Amino acid sequence: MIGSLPPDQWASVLRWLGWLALAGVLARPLALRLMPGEGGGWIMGKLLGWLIAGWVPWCLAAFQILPFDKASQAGVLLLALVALRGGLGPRDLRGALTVEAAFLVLFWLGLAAKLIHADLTGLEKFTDMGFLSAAMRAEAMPPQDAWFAGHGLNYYYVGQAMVGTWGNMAGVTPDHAYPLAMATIFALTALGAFHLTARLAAPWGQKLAFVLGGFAAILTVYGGNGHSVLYQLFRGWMPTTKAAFYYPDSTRFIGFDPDTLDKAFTEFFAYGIAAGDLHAHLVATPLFLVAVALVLAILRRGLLGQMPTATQSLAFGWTLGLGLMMNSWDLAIIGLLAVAALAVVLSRPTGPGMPAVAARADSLAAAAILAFSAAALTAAPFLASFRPFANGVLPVAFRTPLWQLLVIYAHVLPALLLIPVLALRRAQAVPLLPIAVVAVTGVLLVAIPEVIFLKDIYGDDHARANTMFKLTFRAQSLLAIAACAALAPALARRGIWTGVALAAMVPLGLTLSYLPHVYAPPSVIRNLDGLAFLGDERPLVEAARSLPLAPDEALVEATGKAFTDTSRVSALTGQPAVIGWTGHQWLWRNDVAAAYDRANDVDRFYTTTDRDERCRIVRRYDIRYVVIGKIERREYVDLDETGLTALGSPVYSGSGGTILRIAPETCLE
Amino acid sequence: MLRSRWILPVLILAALILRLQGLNWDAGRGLHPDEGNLVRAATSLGWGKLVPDFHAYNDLALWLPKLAALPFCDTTSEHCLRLSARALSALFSTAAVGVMALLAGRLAGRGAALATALAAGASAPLIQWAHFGTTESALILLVAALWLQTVRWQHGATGTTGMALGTALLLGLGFGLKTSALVMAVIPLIALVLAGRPDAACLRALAWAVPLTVLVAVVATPSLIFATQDWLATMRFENGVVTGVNPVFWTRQFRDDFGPAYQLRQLWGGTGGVGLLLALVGLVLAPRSAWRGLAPGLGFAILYAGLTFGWHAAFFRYLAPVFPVVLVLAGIGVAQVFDRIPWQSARALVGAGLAFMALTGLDLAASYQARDPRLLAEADLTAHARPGDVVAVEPHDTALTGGLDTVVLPLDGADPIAIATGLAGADWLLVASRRNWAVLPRVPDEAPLACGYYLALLRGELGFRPVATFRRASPFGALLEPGLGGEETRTVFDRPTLTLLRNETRLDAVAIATRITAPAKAEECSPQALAALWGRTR
Repeated sequence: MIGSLPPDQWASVLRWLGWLALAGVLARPLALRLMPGEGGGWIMGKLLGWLIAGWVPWCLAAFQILPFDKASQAGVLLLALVALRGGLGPRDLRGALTVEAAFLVLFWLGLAAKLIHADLTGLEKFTDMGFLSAAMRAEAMPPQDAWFAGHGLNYYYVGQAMVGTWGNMAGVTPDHAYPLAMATIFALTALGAFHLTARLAAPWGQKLAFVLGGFAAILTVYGGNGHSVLYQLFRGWMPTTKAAFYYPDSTRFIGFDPDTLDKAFTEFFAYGIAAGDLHAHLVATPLFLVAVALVLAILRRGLLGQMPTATQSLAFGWTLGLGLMMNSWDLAIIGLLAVAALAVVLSRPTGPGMPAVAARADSLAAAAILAFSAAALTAAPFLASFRPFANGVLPVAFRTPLWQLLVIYAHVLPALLLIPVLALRRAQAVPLLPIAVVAVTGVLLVAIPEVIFLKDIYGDDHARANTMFKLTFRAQSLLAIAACAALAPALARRGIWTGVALAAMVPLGLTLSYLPHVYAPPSVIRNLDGLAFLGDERPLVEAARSLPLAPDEALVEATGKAFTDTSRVSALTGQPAVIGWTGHQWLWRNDVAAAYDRANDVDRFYTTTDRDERCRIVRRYDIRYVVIGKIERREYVDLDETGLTALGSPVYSGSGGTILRIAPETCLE
Repeated sequence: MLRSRWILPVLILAALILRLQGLNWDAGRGLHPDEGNLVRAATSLGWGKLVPDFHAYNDLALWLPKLAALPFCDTTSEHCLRLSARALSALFSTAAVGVMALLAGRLAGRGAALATALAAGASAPLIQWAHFGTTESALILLVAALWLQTVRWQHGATGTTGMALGTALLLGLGFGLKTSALVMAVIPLIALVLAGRPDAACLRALAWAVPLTVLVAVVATPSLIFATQDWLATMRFENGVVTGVNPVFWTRQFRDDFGPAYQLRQLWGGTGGVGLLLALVGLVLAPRSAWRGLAPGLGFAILYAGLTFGWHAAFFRYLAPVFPVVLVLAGIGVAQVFDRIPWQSARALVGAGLAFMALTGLDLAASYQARDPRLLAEADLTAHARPGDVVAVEPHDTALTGGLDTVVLPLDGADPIAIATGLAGADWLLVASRRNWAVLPRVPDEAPLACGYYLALLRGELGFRPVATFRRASPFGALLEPGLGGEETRTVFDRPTLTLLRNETRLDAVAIATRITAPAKAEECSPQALAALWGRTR
């Protein structure tokens, strides 16, 4: 009923959890220093521990100070040194045990949510496994791109590399680190949402804050959006063009139902968990929540007339820089939230304890400079090798019909409307302001893609799809947190306000109609294995994992369209192939010719009967190994197996196919 | 912490470490051309040959590394003398940091001394020059030392005799390194003018100091007497080069971009932009008591800029003597902001600026720990080339081809068949820096085929396909490196980006010549446009 694992996998899980617990305890003093008076520090310590322990080894590998795998424990060591100097903070065994127990339950639920669809195939899983496995076998950062041999990764990959750190620390393989990381992110996100909501609601009572925090946590990890409610529970009333509800429909609504020329995505955290992709926006969620908590801590100090400390400013800058590297959109999103918070601090009237506006502006400008410097320094080693692939910000050609926006987001409106109503009813303004800042930021994130978008490689019909996807992914969490917190002042007033608050709570609660698409009972936890889908090709992929490729050498396997089962060997092993999914490389390198030239070369490599041409391709990419498996035989009807086998000798031969080795001198004559 | 008396020594020690580490950055291959000339000339010196044949640097510049190396290695070995020259350069540069810090401290207090030590200690150009066995570091030290001595005299910390003696020695020795050092005489002269009507002691000191300066200069440069005509001929040639009368390949880059605005841009880039701004802040906020001491340095900088900023040859190294003035002023600016400006934001901005300056220097210093990209390219080439392969290289550059047969492409010629023949017979093409592609297309009268050649090459029309790019690794990589706007010697000597191309299609010479001579638009050959093509993913 509660699930189980083979003994060796239990050991992996326990090592993983042990390191996490240690990192959390060691990072707690830092959390208390950054967010003083914001709870016991256990939750933010846990999130910070996950992030810092993951980031430090990346940093050391980016500076080529230590190899990535050898540096895996450096982050925890650094936290230990800091804790050694400053102490572990006030004793709070009860708090520690409570948070740890909550984390373990959530972790287990998150693991179940992942393992119910354990296979690491479909959607972006090959991409994410490619990043993760390439990082785990790399010595320096950026790792070699498993899908573009001879080049480093040119995407915001640092989140997956940080997961790689945890994999190295716990001594697990990338395919096992993947579900463990998904479970960790699930649990940390729930805890983070709880913390943020509870802190926002705290002025109206601790118990109420805990209840609303728990509610927000459940909504964040299991809740859908307004579409999930209306198109499941009230489907008969809705103008749908689809026969039945399918869980991605809530993220593919604008432009899809009904079908129009302007398609946009409105994903949210629970969908990300259901989809099971360890993609940038999901991996960066704990960081995003830490950044929000830090901004709110700074805002609360500001509302008391105290300006940010240098440590807070530097830490906030670090979250900005790390956000840029993990999920670049978070830089703008966190920045927007900070600007909103600073505007509120600046707008407060001068009075007892509140410095003059000029003094506040001076302090906040100093804090901004420190933060910007820290962000630049944090991101610099990433930017040193990263070539931006966006093509500028443009005004949108299409806007979402208002009714569709209401379908998606109306569930938060009743609760959010309580903020201005309560303000008009002379509720204390100061505790409401942080909730308002979170809510306004969420609304702005929904509004921005209605005005401008970041141009990428996609055509007009999907022009603003990515922009809306990344911004509204965060908006959904912020709006849910703000909406839950906004219930607190109403509930605390009692009387009719309790009824109003409970009524506003109903549409929020109804989004849990999405829960069946995300929740899985712990009994599904049986094995961490995510490679069973490979079938009889599994030995071939596992053999490829240990091929001794020298730097700049490549293997070649079938390439193909995105989200297919091509490019699986490189994706699952991190071994560099000539080209992976072509469209992805086009996007990441913003160079269509570079990607398709390679894809054409790979096609010719497998099908040409001209040895010279094949040799030219071997030399061009330093191809050392050739994969001839089921996928190659399926993709290349004209596969020249005779010509291929004449080029090298098999180093693996089995049920899944063959791997040939081409000696370096083969194509030199 | 800032009150600790150990901070200044620690900063100077750090400056020394940044300068001494990675001195053998080219693994003994002698990849800096100017340094190579100097070292070769120094190697030939000895008891049988006391006067050199080479006069682009004066005699002391050649003898110093030779004499310094005597106790340590074979002074007939170029490698020995190269390391000796670089070690001297690093030591001079470190000493200059200390002198600048003392100077700033004397002018504006301890805070200014610390800020100057940090700014100068981690200054990227100073660290780079410290790794070259040329005379820039020594010239910087001379300017700083002359200025410090002048200020000490103004403050009464040294007497007139000491001042005159020190000035004569410094100027004379400076001339022994580089003729242009004579302009530094303006530093004590301004102080003398500011002192008002000279007293008898001053006049007496002048009377013996001037001939002493000449004497020291002649002793440090015996070529003046023993090879007068050669020395004068070199000076005339060098003058022709800097004024643009003598066209040479290494000044082609300045064909349509030189002059005061260009040099100010270089100074801006060399100090990360921030240094120049901080120097302006220092100028505005300097305490009134410091003005008398600042004047000699400022006067020198203005005069030097007036003399050199109009030169056709706008090499970055010519800015070296201005750096002490900029860095001392920047240090004073930082200290004054912290002392006098109550705004936290201003302090944060200045602190961040100083940190940025330091970061550029640390990044450059770290890059010397990485293997030279020319060596990496050579290793890659020899690993992949077959016996008998031919490598085409570009003219006037330092490509290393590992002993493979090499053909130099006449890219600055007008004969397409000559270029095409070289290419058609080559298996590889090694582009060793931006020296040719960022310059030749801009001078179509001297290199009429360059634009067409590079466009065809980079579009893949000549049959060559890039197989690898090599750069000197550093923590912040291209982020902090001078871009195409930076004068080329800031990167081509020690941080070039190389591209190795393989001849895949093996076109014949006629086909290649036809493609090279195809019409090409000049705007497609701008350095930026070609850089974008080089940067395309393969």
